[in-house]
Amino acid sequence: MKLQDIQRLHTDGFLAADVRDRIVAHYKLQDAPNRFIAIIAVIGGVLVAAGVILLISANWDDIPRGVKLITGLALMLGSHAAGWWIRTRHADFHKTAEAFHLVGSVLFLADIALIGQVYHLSSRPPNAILVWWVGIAPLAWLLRSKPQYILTLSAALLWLAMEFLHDKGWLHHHRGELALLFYPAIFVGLYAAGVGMERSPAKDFGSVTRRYGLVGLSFMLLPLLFGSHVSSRGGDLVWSLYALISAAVAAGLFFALRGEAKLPLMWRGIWFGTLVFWLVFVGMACLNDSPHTRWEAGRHDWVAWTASIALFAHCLVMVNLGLLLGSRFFINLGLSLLTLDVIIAYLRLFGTMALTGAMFIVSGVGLIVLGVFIEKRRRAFMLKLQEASTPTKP
Amino acid sequence: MNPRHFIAVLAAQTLLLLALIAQQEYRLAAPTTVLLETAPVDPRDLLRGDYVILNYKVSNLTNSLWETAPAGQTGHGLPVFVSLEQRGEFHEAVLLSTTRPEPLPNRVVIQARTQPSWGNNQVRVEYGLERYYVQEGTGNPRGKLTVQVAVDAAGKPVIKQVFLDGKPYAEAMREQMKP
Repeated sequence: MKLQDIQRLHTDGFLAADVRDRIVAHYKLQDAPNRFIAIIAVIGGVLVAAGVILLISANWDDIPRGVKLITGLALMLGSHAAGWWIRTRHADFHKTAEAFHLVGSVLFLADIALIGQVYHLSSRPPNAILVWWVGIAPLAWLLRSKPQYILTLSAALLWLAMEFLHDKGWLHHHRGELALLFYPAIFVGLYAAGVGMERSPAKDFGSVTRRYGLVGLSFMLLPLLFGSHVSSRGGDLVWSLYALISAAVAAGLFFALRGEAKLPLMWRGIWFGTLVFWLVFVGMACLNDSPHTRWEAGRHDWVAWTASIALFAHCLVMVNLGLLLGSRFFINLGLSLLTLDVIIAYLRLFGTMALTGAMFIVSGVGLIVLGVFIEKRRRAFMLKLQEASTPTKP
Repeated sequence: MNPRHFIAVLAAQTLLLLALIAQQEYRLAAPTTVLLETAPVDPRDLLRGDYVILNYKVSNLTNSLWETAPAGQTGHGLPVFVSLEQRGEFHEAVLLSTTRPEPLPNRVVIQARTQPSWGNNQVRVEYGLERYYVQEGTGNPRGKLTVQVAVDAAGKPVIKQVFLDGKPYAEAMREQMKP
């Protein structure tokens, strides 16, 4: 139910003004936010912040360091002050206020970098990101802002990535390969946290966390499609830690999905099994001490082929869940991932006509079957919706 | 939302930045300075721009400088103290120790951390002075680089000034880049 629909009913004379007001107050209806303006505002904010960072990076010798530092601080505080002013005085421009706060948070990182530049600090770079993350984390909750929350999540994951990838990182091991081992588990954990948050006081951020986790997991599964170039043999401690984290994530996922009442029990089980499969498979793929480290060797690699087939099934599950939950996000992500899976499988087969031909036939038949299946499900879903909206005769 | 909480977070962010600035300014104001020899390399940092990597003569030390050689591996971030003495124009390392040495009038003690080294008889140390951020496009100097370093009472060093052939870096680069 949208505010515009209620307004229209009132304008056309079907609804008295007091009834309209009572409905609006009861259901807390608001003007639908203009998503286009929101996207433009966020992109604009990010561009401004990136521009300031580049200007700082240019590092003009002629500007005294005091002026640089004061300007940096003033820009950060000014941006937050502008956001606060708009938020409190012009509630209609909520998205613009959020964009200002976003710029302020990115400028906090720019200021940390500026201090490092001015004083020629060369300590561990992950420290700067850690300080940034800790500094901006409370703002997301205080402002109840989703863009701030996404920035905070991204800062946390960036810090973790730097600890894995930077040669001075606390979690660095052999070219940073441990990131490929741990990140899928982290993203499944985020997804589970998101599902759980939707039934908690932090429900405003539940949907974003869930989506962030699923998109992140999708990206982290793609390297598996290129074969077992991962050889994260980090010793017993790493594997014990991975087993512990995976078990905790699986337990969290189990409890989170248990409360997902919109899904039938069978599909909750299938979805749980699919995500837990990836936790186990990623561990096995990283344990695998394959001699294949080159692209062309990937076509004979069991990791790549198993990952391709498993991802295909994973996407089908996602599409079906999307239909059951009425979620466009699930369907779109499932289909996008499916497309990438098929393209990567084809690329891997380049140069062998027999395998390419076989793969084309199998996946072509698969796609036709999938199309028929999705169309059937869609029709059933539409029929159910129609039945639900048709008034029953007394 | 309570505006006091919002202001408290912004104040915490600002205080953190000011604390970082104050710490560095305190070090820069230290009366002790040393002059070190170095050789440059010029990469770029995503956030902080162009910089020159400074490879100091006192970064590669011989094992004979150990006051008492520590047991086990020394190449993984072990905190150490490097005692410097002025030899001609520059300061050079004369002692390496894991505990702070007794202060001597002609010596300056700097804190450092050990790094993995290729040589058997060598100890590589980092002082946190290995990067010098410069204006865009001026990170490829020709000539002799020397670095003036301020050292505070605790032995923490910070770059005060970099000279190229005896002139301040920015000025020397402007001259070098004249058509």
